[in-house]
Order: sequence, then structure tokens, then C-alpha cells
Amino acid sequence: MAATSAHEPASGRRVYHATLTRIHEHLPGTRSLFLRLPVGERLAFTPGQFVSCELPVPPREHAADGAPLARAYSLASSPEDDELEICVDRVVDGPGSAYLFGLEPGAALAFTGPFGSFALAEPPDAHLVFVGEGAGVAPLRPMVRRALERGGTRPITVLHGARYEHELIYRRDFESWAARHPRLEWEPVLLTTEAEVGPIDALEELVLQRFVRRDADRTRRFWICGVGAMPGRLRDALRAAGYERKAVRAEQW
Amino acid sequence: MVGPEALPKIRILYESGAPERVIEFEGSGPFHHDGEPGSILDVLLGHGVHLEHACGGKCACTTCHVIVKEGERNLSPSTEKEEDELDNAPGLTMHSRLGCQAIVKGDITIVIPKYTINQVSGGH
Repeated sequence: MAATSAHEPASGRRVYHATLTRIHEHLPGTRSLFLRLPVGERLAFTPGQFVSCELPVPPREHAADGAPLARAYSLASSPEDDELEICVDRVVDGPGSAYLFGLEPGAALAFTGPFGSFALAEPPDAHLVFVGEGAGVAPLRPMVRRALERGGTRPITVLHGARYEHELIYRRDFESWAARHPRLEWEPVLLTTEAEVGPIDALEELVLQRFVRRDADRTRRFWICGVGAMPGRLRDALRAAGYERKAVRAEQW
Repeated sequence: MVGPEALPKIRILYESGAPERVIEFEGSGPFHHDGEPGSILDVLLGHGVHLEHACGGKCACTTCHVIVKEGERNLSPSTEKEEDELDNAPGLTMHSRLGCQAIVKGDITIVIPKYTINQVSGGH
């Protein structure tokens, strides 16, 4: 990528300067920020990738050269959309999310990117399984859109884990896509009254039950995203069960 | 482990030709709170040495890719997660590690590769 911006970080990467146009609050701790680039600029990215926001947060002790804080946020929008949408979870004591939650429309936001290999450029000819926990469904959204737009007959399964029904962000999108595309199955996985069993365990259990124990088919492809240990555990379990390494992609937030 | 009279030392060489840096450090971190505590990234940032980490040190990109020239045994072994991500690193070598994941336990010498891109090809 050519370094064409006025502001260049030490790496020589291009820095994009966007304007925050609007905010959508999914939940008290989860919001989408919609960003617009200057006229004539576009960010080329692959569904699932993220941008690294450069946040002018006061440098911490011993911070390197007063460099801005780099924090990654998944793009919940598709490359074809006019605006970029990043989905931000508020992190307790997290300086990055605290800064972003304080921004108002009209604010400037600098970022580099896109980054990351947790992405889907062209859907493989296989049953695609997307597993998202909480806001981890955000990067899956443009991947599912891409897979649907490219056509095909293979099934697409989206399993979305959340504690409560109202926490199923992007639900309306998935439901409307599922209504139009019979091969798409969107399934919420909710925490039951069994207090000890969180959405993480329920999600993992469902995936293993349906895609490991039920049959010997190991041709499916998985994209798993969530907070904490779930994505890694599920990735390991699926690989141990016979799925190829490259068939299982996991991103841990 | 290294005694207090011989602190772990990180020697940093730059493929770009920038002057080398040497860091001696005490303790196991976190020094900066980015990357695993005590990782190459954590130690470098905590000592004022810049190392890219576009994902914030969460093992979700390869911008903190370093090549270990000496002292590989003085780093924590790589995990499945790190190997997965490293697969995508431009200029991957047999001695590549991610700075945010490799925890420093003794003297090492690392090379910071020149500007590398970290994009999925074949997209738009």
C-alpha cells in the first residue's frame, strides 16, 4: 500500500481520516460508529477485516514516543457500503472504548488498515458455519452478506450466542436475509435459566453436537468470533475432531 | 531464569538499517499493557521502543512480526493461535514470532522486518 497520507506513522502505513457521521446504540455497552471518508477516498477491504484506530488517548507511563493508542475494531459494514461501520464494545477500564464512547457525530477519527486474516473474500464451495458470541457477530455480518451475494446452493449457518434476546445485535438483518435466502439459517443461542451455563458453553456444545457428533462430514468451514476463551477452545475442539486446520478460523476479542 | 545481576536483554536490529537498540529489563511485566505481559511487544513499548501492533496486541494481525536471530529458547513456545496468525505474515521465516505473544525469559536478539503489509489478498 502506498503511503500517500500527510500523516505517516513509523511503519509508513497510510492513515485514513474519517468523520463520525452517526452512532447507533445496539445496547448500553455496544454501539456502532458510522464513519465517512473524504470524497473520493475508499477503503478496500475484505469482509471480516478490521481497522486499527489511532486514538489520541493520553500516553501511559513509558509509552513509546507518545504514539497514539492502537485499537482494533471490526468492520461490520460491507466493502460496497458508502459508510464504514465499526462495532465497539465498551471495555471496563479500556481507554480505547472509553474514548470512542465519548465521541459525538462530526468528530474526526484516524485509522490504518484494513488488517486481519479472519475474513472471507470468496466463499468456498462448502457448508459455511459462522459462530458469533455477543458483538463477535459484527465481523461475521459482512462475510455472510458476501457469501449470499455470491450465490450458490450450499447451506450457511449462523449461530449467535447472547445472554438475552435483546442482545442479539443485527438480528433484523439476519432474519430478513434468512427470509429471502432459504439456504441461510440464523439461529439464536440464548442463556437458559441454568445460571451456570453461559452462552459460551451453550454455543460450544451446540456446535459440537451438530457438526461433530451428529455426522462424519468434515468438509464444513467455520468462522468463530467472540470474547474470551470460547473461539480458541472451539477451534481446537473442531480441529481435534477432524476438521482441517485451515477450515476453522477463530478470532478472539 | 536469570538472576538479578544479569537482567534479560533484548537486542533489536532493524532491517531498515535504523540503529540497533538494546533493552535490559527487570521483572515480568506488564510494562505497557499491550500484548501478553512480558511479551516482546510489552517490554519494547514499556521501554519507549516502538513496535507496530495494529490489533492492539491481541494476536489478530501480524504487524508485530519479528524474526528471532538469537535466543529462541529464551521465549515462551508459540501457541496454536500464534501459529495460525503467523501463517499470514509476509516474509515468514522459520524463526518468526509475533511480538505480542512471545514472552521473554532471557537474552534474545530480534530483527524487525521492513514495512510489511498485512492484508488478505484476493479481496477488493
